Amino acid sequence: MTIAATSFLNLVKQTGRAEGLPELRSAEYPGTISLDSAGTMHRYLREKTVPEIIEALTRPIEKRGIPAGTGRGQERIFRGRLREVNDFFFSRGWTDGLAIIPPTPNLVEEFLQWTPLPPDAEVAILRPAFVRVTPWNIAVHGVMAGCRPAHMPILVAAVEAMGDPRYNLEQLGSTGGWNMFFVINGPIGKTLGIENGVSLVSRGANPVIGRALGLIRHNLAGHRPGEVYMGTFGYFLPPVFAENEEALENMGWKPYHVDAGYDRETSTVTVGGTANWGYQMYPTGSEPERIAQLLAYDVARSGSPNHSVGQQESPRLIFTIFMTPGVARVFAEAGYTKEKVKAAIWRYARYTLAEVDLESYYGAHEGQRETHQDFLRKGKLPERVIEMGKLPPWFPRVMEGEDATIPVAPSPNHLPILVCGDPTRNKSMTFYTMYNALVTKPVKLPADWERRVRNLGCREECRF
Amino acid sequence: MDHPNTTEALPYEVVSPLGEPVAEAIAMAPRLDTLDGKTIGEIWNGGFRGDETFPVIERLLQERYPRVKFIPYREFSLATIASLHPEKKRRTLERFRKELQERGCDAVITGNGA
Repeated sequence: MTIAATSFLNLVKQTGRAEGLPELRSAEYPGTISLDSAGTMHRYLREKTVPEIIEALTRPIEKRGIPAGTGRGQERIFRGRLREVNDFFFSRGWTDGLAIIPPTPNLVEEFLQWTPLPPDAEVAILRPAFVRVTPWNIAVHGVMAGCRPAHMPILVAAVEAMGDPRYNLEQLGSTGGWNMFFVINGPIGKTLGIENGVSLVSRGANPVIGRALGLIRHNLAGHRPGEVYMGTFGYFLPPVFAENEEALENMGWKPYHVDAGYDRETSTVTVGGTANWGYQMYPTGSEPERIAQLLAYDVARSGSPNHSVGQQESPRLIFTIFMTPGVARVFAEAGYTKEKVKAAIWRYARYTLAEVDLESYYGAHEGQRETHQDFLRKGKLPERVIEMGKLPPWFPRVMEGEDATIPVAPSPNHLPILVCGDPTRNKSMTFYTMYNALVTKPVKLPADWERRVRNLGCREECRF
Repeated sequence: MDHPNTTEALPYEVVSPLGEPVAEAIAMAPRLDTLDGKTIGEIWNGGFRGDETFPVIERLLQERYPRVKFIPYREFSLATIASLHPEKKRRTLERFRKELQERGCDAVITGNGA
């Protein structure tokens, strides 16, 4: 049996069912374990938790099987007018709170015409619900979110990426409010009007694609906010970006999907994770090293010394750096490749041991109160990563010994760079995750894609 | 381009947004008739003050079941977040199964209030 805080009791039940356990038992801890005094904790354990432990371990199991499957999603389940359909879906917890477009079989079929995959093919098994996701299921959510049928190949590639074990969708339910984000590269971005400029996540097709993928996470991966998706302060719509590939080409840099090993003409979707929609820095001037130091400061500030200290071997500790084309151009014109920029930022992006101790002792998410000495003793922090004299000269030193620092991540490869956003602004922003690798999948297009796109009536690129 | 929804007749007949779960049911171990004389294992993830709560839980259970025995969390591996990443999860669970069987546990308490 499992002890869980009040808001996590349903999570225990749902997780058990997803793993095939009909009745995973729990005992409630009704307080806030990391903040409660010893006396309060003792009282909660005596009055609530321990009696429930006894019941969980001794009351006979009644359920023998997991609830019957919900079907493959192709069953007609309701008939009603627009408001009635919305009320029906909302009352069952199947929406994100916003109105949906009713997923009728005809609309779903329209979406299915835009993928070469059969409707019941397995695209991914999404965790933690262990649901086998098909093009049909994806099309339903595309309809609900307000996508256009032509977005279907992007949705399919995105779901495939979400289901890749390297991405680790399962653990996004952690309380930090970890969110997905998606980057679309290659020709499909321009063809379908995926925005890469000013206010990109709020314009063009970007919001509806992000919404569809958020609904898929919600209904198919099983990440229902407050039940299994436990973000303390909740979530925003999964942001969708395209890179400004024209600007990248002009400055001699490669787009992200080429860095990831794909041909420039291959369209791809990359999924990443983030706990934040960060403050946006204003890099100023034309000294690349100075700008790298500023971006490094933002990188460090977006993450957590407590996470970095124990994750120096993790492939999932990722700081994704967004920079506008203007900022990237300062580097490019000074002869910096993207790799050199990443290395420069990584060199300066460090946490002092004082920061590690402050957060690990007083702000550790699990309340275990450790210092860097404890991490060294337990082998969680390799001694080799502690170095002196690596901070930028302007870094404020307020405590003795602050010159001893650790890198935010194991190598520059943990700091991918994406070039997008308002090309007239000097801006950068960092997305931070300790749970997710960036995973890229190619977009699979129907054989008659070119004809279909022409028939949409778009001249150079679609704007819908 | 017209929005496809404008061509739909009213009312709408809709399909489910849910999909097919593929987990197979696992038989659960029968519950114990009493905890007295039984051995309970403690699995901890290293956080949320389990080192403080497990001893209190042991004491409170022993008040009611004097002959209950515990294998403390210190004698098992830690169930860290990293050990439950998808590529490691199966191996981690197999290790716990083995450790619990070797120690003769009748029941196991996991989690710690968060």
